[in-house]
Amino acid sequence: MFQEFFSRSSHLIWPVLGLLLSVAFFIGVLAYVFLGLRDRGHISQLAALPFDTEETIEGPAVVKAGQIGRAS
Amino acid sequence: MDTTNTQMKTVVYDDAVVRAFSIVTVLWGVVAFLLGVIVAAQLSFWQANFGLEWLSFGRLRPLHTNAAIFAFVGNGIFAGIYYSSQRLLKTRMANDMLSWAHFWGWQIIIVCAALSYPLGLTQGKEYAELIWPIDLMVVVVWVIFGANFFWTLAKRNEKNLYVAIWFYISCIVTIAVLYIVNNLALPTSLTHSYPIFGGVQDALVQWWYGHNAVAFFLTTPPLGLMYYFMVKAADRPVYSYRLSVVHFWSLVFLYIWAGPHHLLYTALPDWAQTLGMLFSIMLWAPSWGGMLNGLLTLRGAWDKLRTDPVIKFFVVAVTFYGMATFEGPLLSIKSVNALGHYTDWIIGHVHGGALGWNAFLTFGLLYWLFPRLWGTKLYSTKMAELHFWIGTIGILMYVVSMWVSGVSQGLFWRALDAEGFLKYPDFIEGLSNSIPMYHTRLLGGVLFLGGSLLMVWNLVMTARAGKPVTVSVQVPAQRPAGDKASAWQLLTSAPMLFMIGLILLAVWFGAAGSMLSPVILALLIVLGIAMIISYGVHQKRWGHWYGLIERNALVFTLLALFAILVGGAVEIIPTVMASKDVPLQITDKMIAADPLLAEKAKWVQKPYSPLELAGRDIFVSEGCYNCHSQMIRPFRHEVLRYGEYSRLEESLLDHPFQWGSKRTGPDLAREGGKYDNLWHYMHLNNPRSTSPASNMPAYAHFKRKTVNVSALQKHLAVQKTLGVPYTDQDLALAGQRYASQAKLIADDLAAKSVTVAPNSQMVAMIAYLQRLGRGPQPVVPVVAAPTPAVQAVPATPATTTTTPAATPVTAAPATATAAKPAPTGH
Repeated sequence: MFQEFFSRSSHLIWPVLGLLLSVAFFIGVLAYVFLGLRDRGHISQLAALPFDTEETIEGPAVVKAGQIGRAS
Repeated sequence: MDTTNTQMKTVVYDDAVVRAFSIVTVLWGVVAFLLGVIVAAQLSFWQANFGLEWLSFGRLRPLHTNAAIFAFVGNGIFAGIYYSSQRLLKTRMANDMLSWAHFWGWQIIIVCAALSYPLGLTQGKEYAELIWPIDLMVVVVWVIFGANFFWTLAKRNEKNLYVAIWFYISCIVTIAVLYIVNNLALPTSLTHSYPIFGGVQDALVQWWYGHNAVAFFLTTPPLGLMYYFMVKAADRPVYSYRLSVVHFWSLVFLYIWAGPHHLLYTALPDWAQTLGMLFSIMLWAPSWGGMLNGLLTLRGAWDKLRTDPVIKFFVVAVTFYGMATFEGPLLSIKSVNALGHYTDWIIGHVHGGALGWNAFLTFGLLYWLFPRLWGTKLYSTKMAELHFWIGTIGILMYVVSMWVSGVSQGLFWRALDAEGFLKYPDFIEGLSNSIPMYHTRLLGGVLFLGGSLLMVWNLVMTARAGKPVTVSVQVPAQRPAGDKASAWQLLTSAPMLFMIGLILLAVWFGAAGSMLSPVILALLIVLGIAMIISYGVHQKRWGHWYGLIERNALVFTLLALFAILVGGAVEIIPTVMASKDVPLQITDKMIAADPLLAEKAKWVQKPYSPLELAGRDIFVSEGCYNCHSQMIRPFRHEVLRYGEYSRLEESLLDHPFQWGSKRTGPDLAREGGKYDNLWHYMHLNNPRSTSPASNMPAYAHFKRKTVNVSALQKHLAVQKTLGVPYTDQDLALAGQRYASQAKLIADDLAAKSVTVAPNSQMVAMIAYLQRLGRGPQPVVPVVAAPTPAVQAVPATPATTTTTPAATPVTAAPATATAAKPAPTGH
């Protein structure tokens, strides 16, 4: 067959290790999310980061401030 | 800049660079779509290149893909990253000069690409076609971008890093690694180089890059943009922040492994193929997790879908993301891939992602940004609505027609009759059946382009109605205090040491013999339990530790880099090392020591002659790989149609590899000897003269353009440096051997009343095509035997002047297992 050069290769161990690593990594992430991230207040604070700013917009008053970005 | 008072300071955002990136996004978007329409038209109507060599499909297709990926989506990503990062980090970009250097540098790169591709200056690797000087420019500009971004992270006024920032970080570090590794090359001149990897190594590295360019340029940054702009447009926080954590880490870790699914059933080692398939299927979960997280962010705000075109574009974009990431794993299943690979199905899949996900997300982004950057409201909602519907219909026409065409092609190619022979032996029949679908695709593309022109008008009028605005924000004068744990303390913390211990044990487990493995496995389990007891049961300790990591940009970046390097290294290093085990020369002595080598010996590739190498350079330059593969898969129908399946040993000396990814035309791996020189001359000069239904461009310019023979010695020398076994004599006699072999072909054509200069590109191309799938061809002129007729002569050496030079590689019979001849129309 066309794979025979590799069927006897000692390098074949690496993909097995890769699979093991990925499983371990995924378990670690899940463990963190379900065991570590349980502070709802902290999570809400992180999720609200895009809104946590009051911006001042300077420029010619083309439209009323509240209208900026709104569709016509 | 910042004016500090006692407690608060004002931060003025740099939106000028965001405006600049937004404008060029619109501009390059139209260019990319127009190029797409042109190349689609060329597949429908071969005349659409107007007979101009620099408009031929093979040269324009890379320009189209690069314009869409790096110019349109790239500039859109940068606009979104500069806008959102400043607001999420509550600081101005670290250095305005670096921002503008990034902007102008990127535009110069795009212009260089637009000039070089039509001229045939390419590296011949998909999505990495830029020649080496432009590659260097890309690296410099990327470093500028990265330096500015990480500097901004360092001076931020917000302690926490929002999920969007994580995705930007992964993009910056991963693209840097991918781009540099895949473009490692040795130059032969200012405009030409050979990649350091060859054959299977080059194939794996290329698709590790190619797939992850999709992952870390076209997926992770847009996902970051989704987590910011969709949230802003919906005016509510992301549905699940915890899901976004799982989404990010699993996506980053899994994506990097999936590249080999582009090489299923090729000569790539089977384990790498299986690994690519497995990880591609696993990718389904995080991808859909992200999609659902995006869509469910609209909970309670679905009414906006009726009135807000921005939300419309975002929702359809995320839906297409879900479709594309469902279809990708599906196509990675080997049995499905056997049908879909090399067909238009892949083109449909790619465009579902590119047009539906990337372009629609970018459109939504632009419709959201322009009014805010110019302090006004959108010029026309109705026009944006019209754009949305025209674009959606265009995408559907495109994708559905390619699905139909692709599945038909797959079924057509594999159809066997009752006796087990090809039902449709002529390749051109399949192409002819696809032409109506190509017309439909063209119409879909025109609609998509038309919709984007509406957007241009709408956005120009929006900008004209407003004026550039300056946005500022008040932040505490004192930057938030950093965590007490330093980067070093974090990297040597208990959870990290536990993880390092687990990884080392896992490596030991893999390397150990069967006696020791159970012991190590037991140790692994014990250490895992110890880690859970030590940290897992104390939820706050886990959370606290990860929180520290998340706020430390350096440690976070290092961990993300580690996640992507593991996948790449585990796949590439074994393949590179194992490929080196394949002997490039097998002697009788070696065969005596290992009889198995006798079978392999006849497949081991021999170096190209100077003339053949010149022809190969032209093949690469013209982008022939965009339509022709050189990889016969081990299926009966492929062996019947093209000849023996391709062996790994046959292309190890190919820098770059030319396995291809699409068959608009037939596979060429064993093209050598199927037709005589005159057939190739006529076919290249005017493909319709030999295959009336062909949509291949004419390459009549090969007759008048000449090869720079004086440069060939340098080309051979560079190949020799890369490991191709040329001798010093080969280099010294390069010009002489070139002339000898070229004269053979020119004389053969002259005998058939065709006059062509021996140093023409035509002769070099014919020599290369006649070499494919065969050993070295004659280079010394001898008395030519007459060739009777201008017709296809399957499985017969085309050069009828002499027997091939001594070589263990005999021509693999094209119909080795078939009693019937299998014509392969072009």
